[in-house]
Amino acid sequence: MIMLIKFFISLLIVNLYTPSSEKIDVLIQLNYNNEKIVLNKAYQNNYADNFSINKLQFYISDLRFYSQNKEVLEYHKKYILIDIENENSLKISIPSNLMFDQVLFNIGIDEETNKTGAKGGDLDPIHGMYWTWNSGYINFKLEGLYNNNNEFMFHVGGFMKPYNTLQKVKINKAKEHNNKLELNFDRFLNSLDFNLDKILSPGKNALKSSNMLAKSFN
Amino acid sequence: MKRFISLLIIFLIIKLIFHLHKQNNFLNYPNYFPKIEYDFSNNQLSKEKIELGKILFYDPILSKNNQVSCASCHSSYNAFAHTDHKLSHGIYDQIGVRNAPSLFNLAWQREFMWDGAINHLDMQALAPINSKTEMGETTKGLINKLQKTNYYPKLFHDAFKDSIIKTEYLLKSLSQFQLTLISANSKYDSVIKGVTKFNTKEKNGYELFKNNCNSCHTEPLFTSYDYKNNGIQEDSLLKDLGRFEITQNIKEKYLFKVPSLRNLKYSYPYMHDGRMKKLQTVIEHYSDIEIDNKFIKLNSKEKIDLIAFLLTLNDREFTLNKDHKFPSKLIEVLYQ
Repeated sequence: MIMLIKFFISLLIVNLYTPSSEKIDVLIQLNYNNEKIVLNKAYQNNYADNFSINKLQFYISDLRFYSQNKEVLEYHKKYILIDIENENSLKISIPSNLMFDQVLFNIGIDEETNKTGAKGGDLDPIHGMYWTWNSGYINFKLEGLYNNNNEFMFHVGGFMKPYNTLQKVKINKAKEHNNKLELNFDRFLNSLDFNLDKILSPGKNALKSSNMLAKSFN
Repeated sequence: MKRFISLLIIFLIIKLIFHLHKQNNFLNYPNYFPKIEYDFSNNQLSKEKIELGKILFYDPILSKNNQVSCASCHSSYNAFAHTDHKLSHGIYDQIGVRNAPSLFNLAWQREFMWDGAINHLDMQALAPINSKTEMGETTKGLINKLQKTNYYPKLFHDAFKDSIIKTEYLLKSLSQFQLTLISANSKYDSVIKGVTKFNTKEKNGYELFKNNCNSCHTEPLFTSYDYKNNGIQEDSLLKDLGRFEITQNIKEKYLFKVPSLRNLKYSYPYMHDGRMKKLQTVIEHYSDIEIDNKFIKLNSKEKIDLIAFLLTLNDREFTLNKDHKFPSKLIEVLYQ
């Protein structure tokens, strides 16, 4: 019976929210220095002669599309695990006739979801984006090497006050490309002092880092 | 149409009442217990899920070398604690950093571990499974191992109608078994129910308890689940900062979760690092120090009476409960 009700409700929602049954993919592009980030490629910032990235994963949640400051679509998936190695995670499927100029989303997982037990799908702890020793999702994970073979790790997360790392982001659609969202890592990656920065738990440093990431995207 | 809707509503109400009744059948607890904390709406109890959780709890497959199970450190005979071990033992003879706590009345508990690091019962099992000094597995490795056995896909299918094993099913079934571990049949409980009476010593001890201990070890669960500094000094080797390690709040240094006083007979040694072997040592400790601006001053007779009362919180029936013991189904699969 509950299944039947759920089925009718989902029918209703689909009818309300789908102006066109045809779908297209919006591509999320992760950029540094105006170019798509490439894994294991050598980069440089003020703190390191060279650094390379070998892991980049993060959650985006509550994704909403806007056109002229009006919400036109709330994305059906509340949580998306973006993984630079997984092409499919960088595709957002929306109705082909949806017009939008801006998107709003959160980087990370909200407090309620962090406190309500086992979840599946993108929230499955099996993806390595969950701290097993201290309940809570890792909102953002960046790992790699700097100055040849030194490892760096930034696991940014934490939802408890005053170190709640959930960040709101508002970005404009890329001008030249109709269906592309570019997330700009310039400010964030340029701010990383690899010798000092290692973040593996919630706290002050994680909060600071999440702020910088949001600034970088905005 | 109206008639249809009202019939539908009545049907749903009946279904809800039936459902609530069904949940209560699995959880037998007295009416003076407070409201349950665990939210069953995301994990409704079923016979198959509880049984699966029990098999997983006793199966050493959860550890990397298939030698350590949950029950290795949480034995039913000891109220699911690890009697006579100060710190938990893990794979390859490793020693952990804290005393394995007893497990019961978990449906009333909000946070888990001595520092409350885990905020939901479902997520608790991930900690020992992934800890290098306990089970040394990875969540992914464990799911793969379970999927490859010739019995777990069927057991998961029986419970969750899906033979593709998922972390969520693993965690929820482990929760279900642990939620059934209810200890409420001590002498204290019989007295509260009016079935029996305390003797003189126990009665005196109960009065002393109410005046001196009840604010932290609150009846009827005998814990408030708050975090407190109980005055024991930092261990120079373990350097355990307690709740501070989770909240980074300087005021919460050396705070640890208040444990329940039920089943003390079976769950020694005491404290987060198991430093006190005897109940008497614990009482002596509290007679010496100031906690929450209060001194607990007890003379030697009062100490004896207080211990007499504390011993009425032992629940022998709980430690002997056959429903909680090593499942025969696991013997079949382990030795087939």
